[in-house]
Parts: sequence; structure tokens; C-alpha cells
Amino acid sequence: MSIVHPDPEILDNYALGCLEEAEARDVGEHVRGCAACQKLMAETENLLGDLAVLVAPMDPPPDLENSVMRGLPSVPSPFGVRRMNLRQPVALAAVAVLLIALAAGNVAQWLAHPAPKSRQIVGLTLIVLVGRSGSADAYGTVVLDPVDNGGVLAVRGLARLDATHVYQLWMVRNREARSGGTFTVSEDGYGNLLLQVPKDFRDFSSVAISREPLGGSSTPSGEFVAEGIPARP
Amino acid sequence: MTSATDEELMQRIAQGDATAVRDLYRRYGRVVYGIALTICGSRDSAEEVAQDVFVRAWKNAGRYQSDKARVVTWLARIARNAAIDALRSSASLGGRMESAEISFDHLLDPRGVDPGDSAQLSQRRNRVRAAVSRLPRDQRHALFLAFFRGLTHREIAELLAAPLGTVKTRIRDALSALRGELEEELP
Repeated sequence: MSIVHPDPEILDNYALGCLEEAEARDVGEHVRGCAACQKLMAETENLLGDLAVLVAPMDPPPDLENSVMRGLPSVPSPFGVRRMNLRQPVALAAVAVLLIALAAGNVAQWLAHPAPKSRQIVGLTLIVLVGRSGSADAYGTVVLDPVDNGGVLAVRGLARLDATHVYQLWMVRNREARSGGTFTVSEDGYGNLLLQVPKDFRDFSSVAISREPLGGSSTPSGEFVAEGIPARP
Repeated sequence: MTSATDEELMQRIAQGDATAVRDLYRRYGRVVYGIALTICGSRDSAEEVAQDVFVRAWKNAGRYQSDKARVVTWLARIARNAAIDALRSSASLGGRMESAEISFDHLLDPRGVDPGDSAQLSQRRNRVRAAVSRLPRDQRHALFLAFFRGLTHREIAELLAAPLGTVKTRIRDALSALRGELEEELP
């Protein structure tokens, strides 16, 4: 229930947090939708901020700075793919689950769902790959843990290759491509790969897959058969 | 330490520059941690609160308006609110009222100057300290119980064995007096 324009004294008390719960709820509901009351409250909040500054600064533990940085959610990447920092490295566990789900084929339906844009899922960076150059049916995802920059590729729809060739994942930055590893695909057309983004290559702008000779190549031999499309802000 | 102004840091944070958060932390992390520890009384809670404060700053930098508040005041307010939330969720009412017996008069000690303070921050703190010192003791006490212990009017009245209306009046008068003394300083 919302009340109409509380007294300034009530707004002060709301900002101070000394209203009873029910009244605070009512006032809060009103303030959220009232620019005039928000403006009045902002003045009180400034005053309370000054009161807080009375407290002497104290030295935090030395590792608090890194904890703060690790805890920042949704750090935008240079190319606009939204990422989330994790407080704990739980992403690899999620990646393992993803691999298991892939092996069981359970993710097939998920992969088949139209998802043309990279996006974020809780705690992970997700980059969608779509087929190119004769592999129009190819569709995959790279899931990255931005904390330790490990991740997994899951892909379907790539043609099986003969014994002398493999697929190779690339991280691309400008004209430079860095290998993320090689993989093959199953009879059902599924392929997956665990990868690690090198520390000096974390600003890569796309991911791509190419066909390469067995053992892989130092640089892509030909056209990419699938490429990741990063999200744009 | 960066030479960027507070406002420049906030703009960079609003644009998604996480390094600006680190700079902001290095500039005001001690202020935030001090508020958190003073209110929560526990180092573990204070660390969690401090992290929460910079996450909130990161998420809400786009809403910060330099003409409405100084960055340190904005951060300090977030820190106080986060600390009170943490205190309320972790401490029983009995615990909070018990800890409310602790005096906060040491905050008024002018010798409590931090050598790391900028001249501007030091001047501001002195000004606020002087204004709070001039409050009648009962007004200051009631205000501090609300501010640093997150107690409601009713809880303060119970603690002080005072009528509810008296507590409301004391807090109202305290805020009014402070507002009058500090208003010309507010942006």
C-alpha cells in the first residue's frame, strides 16, 4: 500500500532506517515512484553520508582489494561480450556438467534453440558459434570462466573428418589467431574441447573453427567453418 | 595512485572500466572498511560489507550525480546502509541493543585525524565532527543509535526507557540542527 507524499520527517526517518518495517515498506513503495520525494531523500542521504565519514578510516586486510575486484559482476569485455566475475571457481564444475550433458546428447535441444546472440549465463561467458563455408548446419558454444579463463567448446553439425584431419579452435584478435586446441567429432556430429585462454590473449575478439591436418597447425590453413559472434553493447 | 578526480573515476566505472573500481578502492577503501567495521563490529562482516559496497558502486555508477553528492559521501552512505543491513541480518535484536550500549563519543575526538585524508576530506570531517559535538547529548545519542546500530524509534525508546515521541523528537531535532549547520557545505 502506498501513501501519498510522506512528511519530510518521515522521509528522514526512512533514510535513517528507523521506521518500523510496515511503515518503511509503505514509504519505500511511494519513494520508488516519486521523483519529488527521491529528491528530498537525496538531501538527507547526503547528510547521513557526512555522518558516516565521521568514522575513522581503518586498514582492511591486504587481500581485500583482490576480493573486491574478483567480486565485480558483469565486467564488460573489450568487444562487448558480457562477462561475470565469480567469487569462487564454480564455472569448471558447470563446464563439466555441460560436457556430460553433451555426451548424453541432452544439450541437443538446447543447441537447437535459436540463440543468435552471445549472452551471459550465471557466472560464465557464453559465445555462440555459427556455421560458415560449407558447414551451415554447424552450431556451437564456447563457455568461458572469466576467473581463470578456462572453458569448454561444445559444437554440433560439423562433418566427420578422415583420420588425417582434425578440427582446430582458434581465438582471433585482429589478424592473429591463437590455437585453443584440436578435436574431432563423433558419429552424431558432436564435438567438444576443454580450452585455456592464454593470459596475453584474453582480449581476443572472436573464436573460430577450421579444418587442419592431424596434430593441428600453427595458423589456420583455410577458411573457418564456424565462427563465434560476440554480443554487441 | 591515480591522479584522476573522483568524478572521472565514477565516469570510467559507469563506462565499465573495472580498473577505475580498483582506483576508487585504493582511494576510499579504508573509509568504507572503517565504517563497516565500526557498525558491524566483526572483521569478517566488515570485509563482506566492503566488497558489497564496491559491487554496488560498480552497478550504480551510472546513477551517481556529482552535483548531488561528493563521491566519498556517496560511498560512505552506501557503506553505512550495507553495514546496517548486514548487522540486522546477522545480529539478533537483543544483540544489537546490547551493543548499542557502546558509546560512540570517540568519534568526536578531534585527535582522530587520519594522515591519509585529503585536506578536503579532513576539513569536512572536522566540520561534521564540530556540528555533531554541539548537539545535545540525548539527541546525539538517539541519532547514533539509529545511525550506527540500525535501531528503530521503538527499539531506541525501549533501550533508553524513553517515550516513543521523545525519541522521535530527539532524532528530528538532531537532523534539523545538523542540516542547518552543514547545509551550505552540501553540493
